[in-house]
Amino acid sequence: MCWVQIETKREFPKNVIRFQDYSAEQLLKLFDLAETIRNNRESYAHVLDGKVMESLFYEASTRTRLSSESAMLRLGGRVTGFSGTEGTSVKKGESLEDTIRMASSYGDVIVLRHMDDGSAEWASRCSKVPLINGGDGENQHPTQGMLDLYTVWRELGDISGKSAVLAGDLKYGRTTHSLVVGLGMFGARAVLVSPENFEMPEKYIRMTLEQNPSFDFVKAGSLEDAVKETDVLYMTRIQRERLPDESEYNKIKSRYEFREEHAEMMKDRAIIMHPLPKVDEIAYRVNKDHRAKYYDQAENGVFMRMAMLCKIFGVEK
Amino acid sequence: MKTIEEYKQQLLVRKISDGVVIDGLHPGTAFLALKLLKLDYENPDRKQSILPIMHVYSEKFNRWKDMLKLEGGEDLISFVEQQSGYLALISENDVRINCIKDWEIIKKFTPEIPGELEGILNCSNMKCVTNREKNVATLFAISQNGRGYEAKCVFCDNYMDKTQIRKNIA
Repeated sequence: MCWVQIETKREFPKNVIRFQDYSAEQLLKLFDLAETIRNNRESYAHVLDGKVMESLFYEASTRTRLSSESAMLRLGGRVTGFSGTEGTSVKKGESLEDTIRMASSYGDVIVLRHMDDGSAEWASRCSKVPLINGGDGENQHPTQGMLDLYTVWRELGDISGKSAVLAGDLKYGRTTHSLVVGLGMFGARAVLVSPENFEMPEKYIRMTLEQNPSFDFVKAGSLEDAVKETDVLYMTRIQRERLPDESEYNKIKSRYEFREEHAEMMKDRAIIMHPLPKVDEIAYRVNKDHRAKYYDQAENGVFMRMAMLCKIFGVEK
Repeated sequence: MKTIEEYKQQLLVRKISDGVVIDGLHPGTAFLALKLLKLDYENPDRKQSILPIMHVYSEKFNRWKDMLKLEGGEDLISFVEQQSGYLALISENDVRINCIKDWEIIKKFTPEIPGELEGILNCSNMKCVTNREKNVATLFAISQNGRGYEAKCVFCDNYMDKTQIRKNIA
């Protein structure tokens, strides 16, 4: 039996730090709002006029930074900040606390990507304005988890009762840490497929079980067995830099590369997702498969982040 | 001159007139307990004596234990009372606090672990912001499960079990 948390936990959180701060009901409302914005872009074009986003990216980012900034601009707000610490006082040794205290007096909302686990929680305690976690170390990436679930909901009509294979680097891939909590929250089943030493850390399984004690998950050894029955395949990149040498990387890469023959095994209504950037883990020819949804997923990120900003600023239309 | 029998009856360390006796500490934890209490024992102006007693056999509890005898005034008693919850981190429900005035026990209690611990533990996750940024006080939420106490870092959500807690006392 599927389990869905339906009660409202609390007001929509002021800060977006971790996935488990939200209830399934709050997320469904967020997805509804994202759809409304998608279909009524003009009427949301000026709802954040005069507001400023501080976009503080201590680490490299393409989609999270660009889609967060795009979301703010599309709502009428403005964006300042930095991408990489070159040319900032961080290079001179400025603490995260000082940077956040300063930025929170310049802007009305902060988006932060930082290399330390827990940095978003710490920064939110230093900030006068709402803070959105754009990825904190190897910990969480809640807005990515939300846009991933939004994509599943949009493509399959529901999340509850669906089965999702999470494959690749589940240890360092923070997007899967947030996503697994979300899948559990909605009563979806998770199949975890990863190489040795890249398994999902126990703490995220625990977090999910705290949200949903009957969370249904299994660990599977091979991609071939896992993809046949799944509704969602969520691939992640094996991070080459985490492996001792190139031969080890090549060995793992070949076992966790999603190819056309794998796609042929999948259900016709299933979807293939990836948080991007992808390198070798999905064969180029799969991009043309009607089930490949990673570019839609990236596009969905803009609407989901627009909805998130509207919620944070209390925009009701 | 005392006889052997009289020596046998004598306590290893004499009774204290005023202060606190922390009894029932698990063997080997007396110095950890001192660390947790954060007593100001380097200040010569403080009129207090600290006696760690390690690995003595308790007939009453039928086990080995450590103890701390802290002799001092009422300010010492109230300070230890405030800090005593931390002792449950290392000796759980077995620790007993006896507050003493004029050679008499005026209060006896088993400390309860606080729900939150600020600045008491280090996070065992070396990538946690509390280990990477300066001046970030650690904060842990404490919960109890079948395996005893557990601490969860409020920042990075890292869980520490009893063994890790002992290793990471700040």
